[in-house]
Amino acid sequence: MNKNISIYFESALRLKLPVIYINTANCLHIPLGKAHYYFVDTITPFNDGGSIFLAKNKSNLNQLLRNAGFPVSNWTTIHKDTFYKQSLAELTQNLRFPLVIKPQLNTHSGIDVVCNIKTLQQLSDCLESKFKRNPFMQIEEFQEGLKEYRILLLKNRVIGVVERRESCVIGDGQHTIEQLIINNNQKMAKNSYPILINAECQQCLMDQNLNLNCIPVKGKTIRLQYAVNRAHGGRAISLGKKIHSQNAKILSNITRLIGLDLVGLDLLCEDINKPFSQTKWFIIEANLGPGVSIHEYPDEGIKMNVSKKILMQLIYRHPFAYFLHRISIFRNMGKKCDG
Amino acid sequence: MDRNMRLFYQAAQQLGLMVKYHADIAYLSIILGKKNYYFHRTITPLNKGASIFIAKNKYKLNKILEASGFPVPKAVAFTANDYEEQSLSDLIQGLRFPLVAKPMTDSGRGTEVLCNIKNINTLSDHIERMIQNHSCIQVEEFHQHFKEYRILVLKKRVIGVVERFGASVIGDGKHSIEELIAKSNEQRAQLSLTLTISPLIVDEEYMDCLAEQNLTLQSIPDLGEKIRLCYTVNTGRGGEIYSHGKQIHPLNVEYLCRAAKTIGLTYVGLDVICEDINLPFNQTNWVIIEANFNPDLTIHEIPNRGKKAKVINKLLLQLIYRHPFSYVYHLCMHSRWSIYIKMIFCSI
Repeated sequence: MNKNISIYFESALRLKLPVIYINTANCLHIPLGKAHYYFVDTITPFNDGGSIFLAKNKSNLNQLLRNAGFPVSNWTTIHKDTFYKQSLAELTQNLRFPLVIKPQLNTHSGIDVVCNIKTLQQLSDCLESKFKRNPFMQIEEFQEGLKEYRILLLKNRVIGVVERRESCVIGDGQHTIEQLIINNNQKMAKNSYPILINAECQQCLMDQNLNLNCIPVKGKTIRLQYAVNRAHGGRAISLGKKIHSQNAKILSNITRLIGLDLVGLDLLCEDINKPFSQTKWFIIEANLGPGVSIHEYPDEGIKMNVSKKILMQLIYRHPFAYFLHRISIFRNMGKKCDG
Repeated sequence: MDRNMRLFYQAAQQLGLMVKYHADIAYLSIILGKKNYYFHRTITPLNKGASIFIAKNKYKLNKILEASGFPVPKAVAFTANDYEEQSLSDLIQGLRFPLVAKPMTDSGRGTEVLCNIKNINTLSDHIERMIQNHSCIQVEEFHQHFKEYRILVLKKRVIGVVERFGASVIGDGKHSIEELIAKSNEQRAQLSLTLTISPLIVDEEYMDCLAEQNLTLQSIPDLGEKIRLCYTVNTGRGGEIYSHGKQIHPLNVEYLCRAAKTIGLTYVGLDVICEDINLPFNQTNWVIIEANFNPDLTIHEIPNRGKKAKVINKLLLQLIYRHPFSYVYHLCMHSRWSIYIKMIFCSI
């Protein structure tokens, strides 16, 4: 069972909801009243179709947000055929390096995302390899020096704030970076992800004039990736629900605009507890199927039981059906005891 | 603007809804209360998240319906890796020819679907081609000699019934099938400006279908003889439709509404194969093939044959039912009588 599905499953059991895991379809089924609700991977039954497809397409989402006056990085979207027909310099003439590339559609866990691309040649090489799997790629300006956050909103209210940090190791003056990564992966906690040694890791080290065989001095922090995704070994530090009230209001307006009832907003800012009106900030993505494990099992910080809050929404929709279901459980228990 | 969206836009304007077309992203938005609802081509805000993803994944859908006791074709699904590692005969073990092969997700209008596959070599050749563009393939048993329908279900009601036919041409005793196809395509090009109709494009399935009838593209059919060209009935593959309005046996309505509810879809276009939609399902053979969470509405609203069914207004009314006060308030404030209404309120 997928990690998020298993969290929802356990939460539903704790709430005594009538939950069934359908093995053949790998999803959760909660029949409540006359309605049937499903959970597939991170996808829940809360968002509307139109808004889902709007958020799935990063370019459309950026355009909608920009039109409404919210800050998004400058971007362009390129189709595979256009890439081979036109000059890349012309296609990206309005963008400033460094850049980040990502698939325009159907992406998750930072798959096929490459950050901090500094030259046109590097951009061309990366795009060529990514176009093998994706027909459309989005190229954005990469924003450096800002913190990255995942804010979980349910019905326009913030229910979880997580700071996402890129993977790193701390030198001990004895081991190479590669050995430090291996040690880290061996010692990692149950719900963490291993640090990956991939092209982005090698590039990140090269940008710091390092390689996997260097021995960092004791106490020195070595950054290993630009992408902060947990699947790449990034770390999640939960701040609970701590966010500046003005920022919470702005984010609530964003979710209202997109029309998503449950959304994980990825954003870059100086500090989530400083008002956006006085600092620099950008919206990166709106995840229509946000993972709950990052909030429930962060690497550091306050654990937030967000799955319960999410499932409670189903109970609010069908209070009588839920009440009758609880009574039927109580009766069955009584019959068993009598037997 | 896409034809479906244009219909939504016009109907929303007639209902006095606050509708806006976002040309730069090709989306339509309707604001009701504090809520934004988006429409894009055939995608509406009426269905919810996970049920959409289940309907998109034909295998998941097939298994969920099967588990709930609905008749579905016997099916298997496999990834490109499975296909490389295992023999095809092992993968499709338990299925009986003829078969249908289709992408498991993200396919529309019958593209890349091959019906009536009679042997493993044809199946293998088709999968080889599909695997270039799709990571998961579904193979299921093909149900022949039945009628195919698209039934539009909204909550507890059937709001549209369309019978679908495979592409065909009618002989005139003079022209070859190839010439008849060319002639038909000229007419279709004209009709496609207003109706959902696609050209007849000769592909592998067309050739197989003709071969099964001992015909070739050069054969000259008799006057009035109807020649079937394709097994797949989708309009995107040259298929034709006949709208029956809402005519369907009441027992079948019950079955289909229950199927829609089981998937968790408020509004769905169910593709059903059966003996006749007006004969009760409990006495006849029937199977559910697919559940389209974003069905094409033009085949109901502007069919090229049969009764027109007004379905768009019924869908938009669902949004109004969710926000009745906001809707009435908006109507009062933006109708031509709004000045008088405001004056009344001011005087009160």
